[in-house]
Amino acid sequence: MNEETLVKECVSGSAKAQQQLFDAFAPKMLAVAMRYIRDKERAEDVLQDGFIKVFKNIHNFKLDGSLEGWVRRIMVNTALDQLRKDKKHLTDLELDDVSFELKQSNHTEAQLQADYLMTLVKALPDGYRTVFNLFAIEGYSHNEIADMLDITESTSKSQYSRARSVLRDTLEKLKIER
Amino acid sequence: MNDKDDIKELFQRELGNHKVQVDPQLWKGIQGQLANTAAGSAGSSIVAVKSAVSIKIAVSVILAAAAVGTYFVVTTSSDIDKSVNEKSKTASIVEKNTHEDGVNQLSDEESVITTNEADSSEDRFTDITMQVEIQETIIETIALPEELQSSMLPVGDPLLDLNEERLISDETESLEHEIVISPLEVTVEYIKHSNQHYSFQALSTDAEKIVWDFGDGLTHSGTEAEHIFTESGTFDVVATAFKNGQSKTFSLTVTIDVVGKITLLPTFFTPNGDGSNDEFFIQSEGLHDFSIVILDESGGILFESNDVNFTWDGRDRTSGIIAEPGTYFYIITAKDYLGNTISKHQRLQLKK
Repeated sequence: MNEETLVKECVSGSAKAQQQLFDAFAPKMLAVAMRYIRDKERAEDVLQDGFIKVFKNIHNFKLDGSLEGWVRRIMVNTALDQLRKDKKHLTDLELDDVSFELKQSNHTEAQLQADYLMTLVKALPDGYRTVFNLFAIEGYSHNEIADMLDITESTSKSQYSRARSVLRDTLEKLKIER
Repeated sequence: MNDKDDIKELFQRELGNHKVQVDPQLWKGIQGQLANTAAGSAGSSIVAVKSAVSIKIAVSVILAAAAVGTYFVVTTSSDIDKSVNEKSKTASIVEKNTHEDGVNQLSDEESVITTNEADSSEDRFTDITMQVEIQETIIETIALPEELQSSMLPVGDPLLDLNEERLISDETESLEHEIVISPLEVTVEYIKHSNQHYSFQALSTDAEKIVWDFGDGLTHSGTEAEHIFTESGTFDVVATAFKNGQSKTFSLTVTIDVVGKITLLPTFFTPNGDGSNDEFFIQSEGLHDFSIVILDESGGILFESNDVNFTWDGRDRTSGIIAEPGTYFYIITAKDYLGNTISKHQRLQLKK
């Protein structure tokens, strides 16, 4: 089933098509949610809430856009909503003096690198992590992030640059190959 | 000047399409909820991502303030000056910044122009337009040397009418010509976001590269720099601009005062019930908005608290069982009453 047919069947409410869409995107989207929400169970809740939004709104999806990009945006926004609920001040957590250390492990194989980087991202405080995820991985601009998080563009930039320096320091310590 | 962002590249490449195994039970939960609401109308709103209109807001507060106070109708015609003077009303003006400005002086109720400082900042000003109230403006036109006069754009009739659009576009065009002739120079402006956090902006006419030394052992390369000073003290921040093997420096001093501190950060504890070092805690002064998270090596959270006087007995918060001996790490973030952020990351050995 191609993407267009899949979307159309989901719009008409086919459970089979919905499950197929879920199976296709859920592993990636759970990874997205887990970058924003530290706790795995809560990240799974976000995944479920996000997919429910996807199916309820799939009639709004424009077929000429990227389905994955659309699903991902919904997932990111659902995760942000969750973070907002958890924390009154999402970006109030700031951090400096950064030198946290993870034990040097044997994660040299390529397939483990991503898991390791994931751990590093998850260890960042909420404010840093959110901006880092949005800017570095999801690819939003600071201008968009300022809008999404209701912060200033300069806060977004500074949170990002701090997050980046934490990660760079840590990677240098761990000597992860780039 | 684009700094390559290797961290962004790495994380985007590795995590952009990262996948995590999904528990099949999750689908059942979704199905159940969809079935429950199937009769209801479809949800109507999704948080849409607004399309970004890229607006540069790179001008520092300080510069903007200077520009508000500073004006600038620069023309070679004293007739124009007169008309501004006579009309004495609101005009929309693009400030124009050239070396010649130094010889034109205009003062309004709140400022006297000093153009030397502004010379190196032309590029920051190219797209600033603003409304300036001109009230009883006195314009003193000092005779310009011939060669400078000839380098200025002729002023057309529309200016006499203070036609806003024309004035703006004419002046803006003229700016682009003037920038080129500036010598290598650098000045630095900064915005202080908090006691510790500064954004620096080098205003350089045409440097190929700008290197920053923050005075605390850290450096950065690029026209803009963000820096967090983590210690109290006075630091000389030096920006060096390079071009064609030439270099020029500009320095300024910042003073940082961090009040809150953590006085005891243990690196190990022994939750074996022998009455000695059974609990993990820290000691600190002057902290609020405190948060600690203790993680295992795979990033799993064992303990969280917002209480600066927390103690941890080594029990995993979900299982309630004392964690295995090994290496854990913790992240502390807090603020002091000045709003400084204080944070620590440290390894914690659990022994029995």
